[in-house]
Amino acid sequence: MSAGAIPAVAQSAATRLRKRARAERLWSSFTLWLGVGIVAFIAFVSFAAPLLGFHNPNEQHLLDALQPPSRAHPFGTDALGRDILTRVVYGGRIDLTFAFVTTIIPFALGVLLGCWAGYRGGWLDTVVNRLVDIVVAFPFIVLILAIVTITGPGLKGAYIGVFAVGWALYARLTRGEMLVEREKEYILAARTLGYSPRRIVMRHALPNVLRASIVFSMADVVLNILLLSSLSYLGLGAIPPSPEWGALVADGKDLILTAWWVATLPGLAIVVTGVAFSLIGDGLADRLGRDFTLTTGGEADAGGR
Amino acid sequence: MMSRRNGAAAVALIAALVLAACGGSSKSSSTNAGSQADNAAAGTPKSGGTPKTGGTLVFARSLDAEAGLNPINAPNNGSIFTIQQIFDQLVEVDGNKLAPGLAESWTHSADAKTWTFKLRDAKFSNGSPVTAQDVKFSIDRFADPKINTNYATLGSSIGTIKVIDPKTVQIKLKEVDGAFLENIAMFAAAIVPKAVVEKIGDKAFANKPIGSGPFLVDKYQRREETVLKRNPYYWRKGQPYLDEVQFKFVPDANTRTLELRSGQVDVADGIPYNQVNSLKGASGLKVEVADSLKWDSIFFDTKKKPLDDVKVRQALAYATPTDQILKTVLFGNGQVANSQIPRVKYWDESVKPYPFDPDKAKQLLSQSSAPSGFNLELQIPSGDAVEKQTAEIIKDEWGKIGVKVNIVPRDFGTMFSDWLSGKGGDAATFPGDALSSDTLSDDEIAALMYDPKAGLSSLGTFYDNPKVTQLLKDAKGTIDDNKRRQDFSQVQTIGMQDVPSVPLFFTKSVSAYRDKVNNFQTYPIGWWPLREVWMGS
Amino acid sequence: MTGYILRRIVQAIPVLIGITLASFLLIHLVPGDPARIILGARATPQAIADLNHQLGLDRSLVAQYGDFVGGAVHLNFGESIKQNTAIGPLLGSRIGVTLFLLLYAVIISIIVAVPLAIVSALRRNRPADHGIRLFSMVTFAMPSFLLGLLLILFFSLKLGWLPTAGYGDTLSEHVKSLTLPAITVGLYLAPILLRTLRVGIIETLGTEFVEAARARGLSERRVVLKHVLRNSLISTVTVLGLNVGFLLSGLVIIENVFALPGMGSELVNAILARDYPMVQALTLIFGVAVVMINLLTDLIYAELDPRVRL
Repeated sequence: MSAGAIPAVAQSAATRLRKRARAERLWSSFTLWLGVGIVAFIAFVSFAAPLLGFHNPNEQHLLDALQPPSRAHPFGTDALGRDILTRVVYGGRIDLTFAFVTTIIPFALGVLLGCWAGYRGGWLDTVVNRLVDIVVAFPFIVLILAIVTITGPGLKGAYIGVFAVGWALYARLTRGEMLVEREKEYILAARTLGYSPRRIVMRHALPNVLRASIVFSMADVVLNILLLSSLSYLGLGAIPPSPEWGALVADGKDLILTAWWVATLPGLAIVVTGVAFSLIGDGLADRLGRDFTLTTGGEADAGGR
Repeated sequence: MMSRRNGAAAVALIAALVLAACGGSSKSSSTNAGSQADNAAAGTPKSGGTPKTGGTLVFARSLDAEAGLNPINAPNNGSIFTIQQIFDQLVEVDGNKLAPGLAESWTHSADAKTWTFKLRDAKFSNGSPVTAQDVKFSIDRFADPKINTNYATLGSSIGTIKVIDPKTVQIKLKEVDGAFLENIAMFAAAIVPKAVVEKIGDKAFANKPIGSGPFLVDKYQRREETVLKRNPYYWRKGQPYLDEVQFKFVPDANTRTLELRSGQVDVADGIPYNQVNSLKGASGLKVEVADSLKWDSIFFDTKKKPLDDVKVRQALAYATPTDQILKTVLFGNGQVANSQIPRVKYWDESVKPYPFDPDKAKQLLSQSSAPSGFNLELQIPSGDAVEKQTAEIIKDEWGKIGVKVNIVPRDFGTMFSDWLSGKGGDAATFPGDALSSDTLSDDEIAALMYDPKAGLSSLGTFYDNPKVTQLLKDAKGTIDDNKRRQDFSQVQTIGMQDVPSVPLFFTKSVSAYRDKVNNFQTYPIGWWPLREVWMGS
Repeated sequence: MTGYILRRIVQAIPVLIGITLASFLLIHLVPGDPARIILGARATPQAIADLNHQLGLDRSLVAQYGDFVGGAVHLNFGESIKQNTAIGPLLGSRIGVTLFLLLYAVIISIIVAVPLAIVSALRRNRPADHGIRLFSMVTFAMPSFLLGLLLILFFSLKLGWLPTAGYGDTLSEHVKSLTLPAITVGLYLAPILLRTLRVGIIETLGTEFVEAARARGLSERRVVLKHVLRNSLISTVTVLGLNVGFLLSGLVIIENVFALPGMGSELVNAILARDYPMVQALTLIFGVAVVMINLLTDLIYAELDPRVRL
């Protein structure tokens, strides 16, 4: 039998794999930048709205109520004759700001706590862990509804609620990563060199334990947008006439049989934004080697320790 | 009674009042009048055809009888409207007037303080007869503020009740009460079987009620469904026509409409105004837009500056585009209000509503204590599309005269208790069907609106005009209908000048039903005489 | 194993105490007087004081919490303030609806997610994979109330196949009534399951024992069926177990949209009515459910995956 045939096959297989890997990298870059592009576009349009010719989102033309989409009103008008596209554009400011702030602050808080708990272990770890357990097992909706009732209307309650809860998953993810990381050689080496724990965690471990949290944060952004819109849907979110996206969907829900555009087009804005963040998450997952996950893995790995 | 249009929570806060006196200033109705009413009810259907017995009516309701089915203290319309299918009172609501109920006739003494009721032959749904003892027991409870905690003021004029014979009851009043008949016609004064209530207690009775009304309770699952069956002992011969009524609790308005359209239910109540036209066009469906004892207003906290200045309040009334809101938000399903209370018995049509006149508004404001405008916090119930849109239009228009409105939506339960204690915003609106009179007389709702001592701080406006409270007292102290009418008309006129609230609309109850449902109607008081409904093919 | 289980149960105790304490404090911080809400605005101050006394709301918070815990241990949750009836039997019928919906939704999400995840992993970075991933992104970003509304419009109204709301009386009616809500919840869960599974399968496909199986000449089909599916079963159980809290929150909104008489709609109702005993009971039940399911998940995981040392 031809002995040379095997290397030839192997070689061509290797080439194929290499080609494929390159194609995959290209594709993941593509999804990443596509997502970034869409988010950047939406953010730009929202925040530069007046420059782009979108004016007062609350301007009423009662005689032009419930006009279907047309050239003058690409998304149609709502029950008070307000231009829905303008409202969606301005609503982007509210939703994107909310999503950004409610993701970044719990992210920072959770990662720091998770780092320390994972690195230090001991009682700190136990306390953080039990706290995370409580937060994760507590019905989130009870918390958020209760907080909204305490703080009164508007986004205040939604912000506080997410801050109170959002950190827990980041803490758990980071802690899990830290448990693995702290046994690695470079950390052991840093310890032998006498670096302070603070320096070891912040300078050396942090960049490596962040990956899972970064990928998860992209899903978290989507969940936070959905949360805000759910609250507005229940009438407990943004203050009228604020054009928050969920409030726009809620405005149109009773009209869905007669004026489909009032609810569905703002709904589309939510979906497109969510998909864009998911695309970013996907691209990042490929690059960082950590996939999006909502698994919180807590006790499985604690048990395995 | 209150309810929430969005169904998130049905919070019962405002109690309603009583039944309208059957119009007579003093003459009691005779036995004949009673039997005529019977004939009218049973013999002349309001839509064509001969009533057919049998069939099941499936009714998707926005509210549920979750608070129990005990008439005494029933806190909200979810319960009350079901209770009215199960129980009878001595005197009944028949549309916008009173009619004989378990009492087939009554007379009163010259001083109007002693009333004698002659009972008809009737039985409870457990087969035992309705006796004078049951009536005494029930009305005693209604008159006892320790038992009737929620509606104590409505029974407060009742003194002692005497059983003359098994078919005759005499009620002595502590003072003359112009709305006495209306009061004992309300749900809380329903006649309950003494033996059963004493045996099982109020709590159990709320789950297994026994009444003498057209239907009895077959199945009662809170927040799911309540199934009523024909009461075989019902005293109106031939009624009810239906074998069964299924009340399904469907809090979401869209879902209710969809269930009706897809034929899963026969009737749906609480149809959003914006769906009226499309439902009218749907084949096989009928839409009923009925007058109601509900109304919509913007209430002011008149203790807060600058709303303590009547010129400011008048300016805001002139700056409110009621016609425009009626057209855009209510799709025409209502009437611009010329009164701070709903159209009950003594409503005076001739009082002028505030026209929309921004120039006049600006002029009044410039003469007021806040000539350059001010900021105003307007609290609205969360999740209520109509209130929200109304508030958004008002924000726009009031802004044009220099009053900057900040709209604050709140969970209505919290909002309302804050509002009543003066800790709410500067102004407030309530859900459109939150406030309604439960009686056919103006006394109670007028007292709530204008009398700060009636328990609700003049519906949170803290309005206090001694002249108005005196007029209300005068009206209550007589059964002379002309005198009462004049007093209430004066109250309405003064109220419109003082504007503790900007009246917006007298609103409508909108229901829709499949065209095989015959004789369906909604009384202004809110519930439906389902005993008259029959199913065609 | 027994030691592990015991340790896990002991760990669950502070969590449960934390949950009950948090819900208790939270609901008492919420402004609004339940007695006023129940009795209506026209009730006299005396009536309100009487009711507060009857409900035990005039006692110290510590005493009230003690009562609540004492009762809960015996599964006695007291009486609902708003609905004026004992909570235990009332919730008995609610739990059935929610469990049914939960189970139905999980089945739907498995039916949707598992085959798609396998296709997606095997056709990695091909059009099929991209399509499936896009699908999962769209359903993930779709507000569940909007999806529910669209499903009702299409299946109930346009096609007239399924009821729009309610729960029905018989088993077949339950299944029919819960189909649309279960699809909504299932599609809400499916993307998470799908993506986790996809990654899991890709990892498994690259592992040594799969390579070994291939080298032994097993067909790709057998490899997938035998090894990959077994491993994805483990991931499925884990993902479902750990996301049960997330899932329960989703149920709350959907039960409201579809007017289902479950625990989720009961919860919203109770919070808005300041029905303290009801909120506490529901929070406790939700919390215990999440803790128990997580515990169970870990045990199943340990059972299925011998690599987890106990």
